Amino acid sequence: MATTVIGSSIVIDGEISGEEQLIVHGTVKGRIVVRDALVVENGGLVEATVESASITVNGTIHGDIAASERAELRPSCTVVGDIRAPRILIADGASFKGNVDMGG
Amino acid sequence: MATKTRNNLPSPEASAEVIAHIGPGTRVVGRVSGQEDLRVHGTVEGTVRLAQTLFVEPEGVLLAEVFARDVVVSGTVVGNIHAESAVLLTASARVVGDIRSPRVSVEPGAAFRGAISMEPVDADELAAEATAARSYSRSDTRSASARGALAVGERPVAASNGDARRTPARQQAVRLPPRRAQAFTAAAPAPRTWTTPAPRRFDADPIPPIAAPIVVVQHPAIRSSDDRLRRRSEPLPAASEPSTDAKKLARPRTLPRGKHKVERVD
Repeated sequence: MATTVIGSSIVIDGEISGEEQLIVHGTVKGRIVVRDALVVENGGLVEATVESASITVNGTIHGDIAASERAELRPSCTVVGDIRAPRILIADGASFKGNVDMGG
Repeated sequence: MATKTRNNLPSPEASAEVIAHIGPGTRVVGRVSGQEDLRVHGTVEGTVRLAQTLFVEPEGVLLAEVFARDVVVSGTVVGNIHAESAVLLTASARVVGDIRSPRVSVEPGAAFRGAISMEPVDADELAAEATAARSYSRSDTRSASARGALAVGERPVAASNGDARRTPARQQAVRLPPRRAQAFTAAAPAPRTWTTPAPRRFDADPIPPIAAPIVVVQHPAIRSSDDRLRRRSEPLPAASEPSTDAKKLARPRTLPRGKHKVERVD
């Protein structure tokens, strides 16, 4: 149960911070800081600055992404914003607009 | 379980996995709203608006104003709770705040401090909320407009004050013949002689002899303190100028009298 799930009809306007996995089906605006993994599920909308260990995007993120381990953009995702992560996976079909910084 | 039948609330154990929940290590600051159930194991600060049931689990902490259909509190809530249907405080609940709900049940062991109102939430509550929202927005606009008005208004007021302060000074300065004004501004110690009545006496008496007052002044100076020495010696440099200047010196002495009279009238 060490996860946080934001349901599909949930809208959070503000800041989410935590030590555990965060799964977003709904909408988050503002800022997300998570020590563990962040998963934006299909249908999830994140309009926020995101900091996390690893980020997996199936849904939509509008905002800058900073991952300390990896960022993965799945085929169905839409990402607008800069990505900073040592490892970045962009699947075929993913929609992405922004800068990539792999720390090289 | 009894609450389920009586309050028609889903029990806290019901529908474990699918429900949206905020984990024990997660903190949310801001506004949370939704159309589904939400379980709070972590911390939520701000405002929570749910169309369904809000569960505050035993480890959950809610520092928030809560609007929901049902609220089941097993953890800690600091803030007002507005429920359209029912509120249940379980045995482990700790609540500080007012509860507004047509049905409120408090299990033995629950800690609660606040007011409970069981009047129906619907009309007046919505109206109050609406008015609160209006007044909030109004107060915002007012404050903003007030700031603008102040920002716009303060300056002319200050400027007018400044002008009001300056204009009499200018008028006074204008009333004064320019030579005198220059002479007095040029001679720094001169204004002191205005306020002190002593030089009037001495200068009024011995106008024609300029060198004589030096001698006369020295005698009382020896007797009296250094202050008198200064006062009597001050007009001397102005008086050391030709006798026409001595006449000019006599005029400002009459002016302060007029000033004093004006001040008294005011």
